[in-house]
Amino acid sequence: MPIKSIEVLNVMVFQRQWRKNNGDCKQEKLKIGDKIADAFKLNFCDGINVLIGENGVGKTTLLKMIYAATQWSIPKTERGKTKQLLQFFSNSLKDNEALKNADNKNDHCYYKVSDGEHCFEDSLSLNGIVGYSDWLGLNIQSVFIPTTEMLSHSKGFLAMNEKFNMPFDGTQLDIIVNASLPETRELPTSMDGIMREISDAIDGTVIQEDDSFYIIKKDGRKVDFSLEAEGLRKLGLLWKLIRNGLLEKNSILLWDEPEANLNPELYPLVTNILLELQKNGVQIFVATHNYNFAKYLEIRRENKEQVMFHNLYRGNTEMPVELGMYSQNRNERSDEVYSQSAYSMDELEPNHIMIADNKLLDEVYNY
Amino acid sequence: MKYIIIEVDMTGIFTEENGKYRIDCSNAIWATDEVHKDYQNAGLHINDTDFLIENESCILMIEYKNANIASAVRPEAFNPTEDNKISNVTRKFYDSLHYLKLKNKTKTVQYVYILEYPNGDTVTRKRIRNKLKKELPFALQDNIGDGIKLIDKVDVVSIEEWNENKDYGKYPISPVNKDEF
Repeated sequence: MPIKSIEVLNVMVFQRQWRKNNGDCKQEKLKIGDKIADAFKLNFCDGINVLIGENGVGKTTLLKMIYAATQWSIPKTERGKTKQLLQFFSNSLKDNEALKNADNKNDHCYYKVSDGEHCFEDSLSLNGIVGYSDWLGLNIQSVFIPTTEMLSHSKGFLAMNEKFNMPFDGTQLDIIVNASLPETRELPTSMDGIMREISDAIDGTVIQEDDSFYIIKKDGRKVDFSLEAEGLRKLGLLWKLIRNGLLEKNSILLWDEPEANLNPELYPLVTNILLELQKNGVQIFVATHNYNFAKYLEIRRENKEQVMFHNLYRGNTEMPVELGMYSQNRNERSDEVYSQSAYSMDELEPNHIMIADNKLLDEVYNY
Repeated sequence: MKYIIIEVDMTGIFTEENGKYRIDCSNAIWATDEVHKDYQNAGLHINDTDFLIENESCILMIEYKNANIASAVRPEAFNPTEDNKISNVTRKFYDSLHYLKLKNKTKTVQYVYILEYPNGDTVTRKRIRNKLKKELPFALQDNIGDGIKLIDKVDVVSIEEWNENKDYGKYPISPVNKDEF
């Protein structure tokens, strides 16, 4: 079942907000049921969810929370894989305190992920998981692709990690585990086209031997992963994840900055692959800073419900007058992270990845 | 764009060729939507922009294209960034200068392309604007103009951006039939 929503309160950059269930208090009149203080909330589509926004607004945090929640839905995970949100951020954090919002450590601190029927809540305040029994056993298969390419460092990596304290977070470790899993006997025929496209781009297929990854080129050459261009390594990783059966129907792909190290000419290929995976029943979450990458998803989709854009931005609370009487500290809050969602990038404002492109185009115009 | 006059309104409210939107130029010093008709009547087969509006400081030369309306034929096939489309829009600017000369309208021209098309956004419109700038006489007037300008600015905007702009918005664009939108 796809992930339908996330709710975050006082974790990292996310604080309590004065808003109406992620609606906009400023624009609409109050209605019965509206809350004066609420957590950050985001509702997702079943297809591809594209998170955009400036640095430091919590895009990667949201991806990691969803990943943590889905890992908790599986009773047994592969040896060496992590589960706790804490480890996904850093291997050096001692406890949950570091993840709490610095200004609101004594308030409730939690994030909650829901598929519409079941809920997973990681409470940093209670130091435990709420709704765990309800969630455990849902077996939501998920893969997180971090920004950093990891496969070229795989030789002896996992064994070293068990013995030593390595400076890598859980997502970086897990991706090596996932890529190292055995291949499935047979892939669904619906994946044939995607595999062929990736194989053409990397000019071969990916294998793992003695903890190391190689690309077997179509002319038979065996090329060490570390010698391949970093953008193509990303495609090789994707090929391996699909080949290992990790991106099948009802699974979830979380990909942080897919455009990183990728030549822009490969954006159409990668967006095509994502759209094809989505059509095969994979729910996808990507965080991107790149207008062109996001725009390819918008224009290449077959129907608008296939891709939804979520804009995260910082703004000052402008509480409506009617709500002011309920708050004693209405003027103290500022610079909170807000969000808005739409099926078209043009409907999102302020859209920082478009603003950045527009600034450049204005400079070119005025040159 | 081949222009068909749907309505000529003496109050300065003009309807665009598809009959879906109108532009209210009643606040203008002078405005016309008859460039095409006047060129045709004179037997000229040259290009023309859809509207000319004179305000206190400049002439707004306006080209209007809306591929987002329900009756648009294969709107997804309309690509305003193609070289021939850019060339077509620039030719309309140059040919409309004759009209201004004969009307003794000597204020500097701002060329505004009001453009609606599927999946268009501010970034794509600015990219089109920059392409247009290269084809319009900005460099020429800098090189030989001796202070005289044929054009002061080129802009590509959506209908919403037009209406929200403090200068353009004095001549608001609205649907002819509000129930349709």
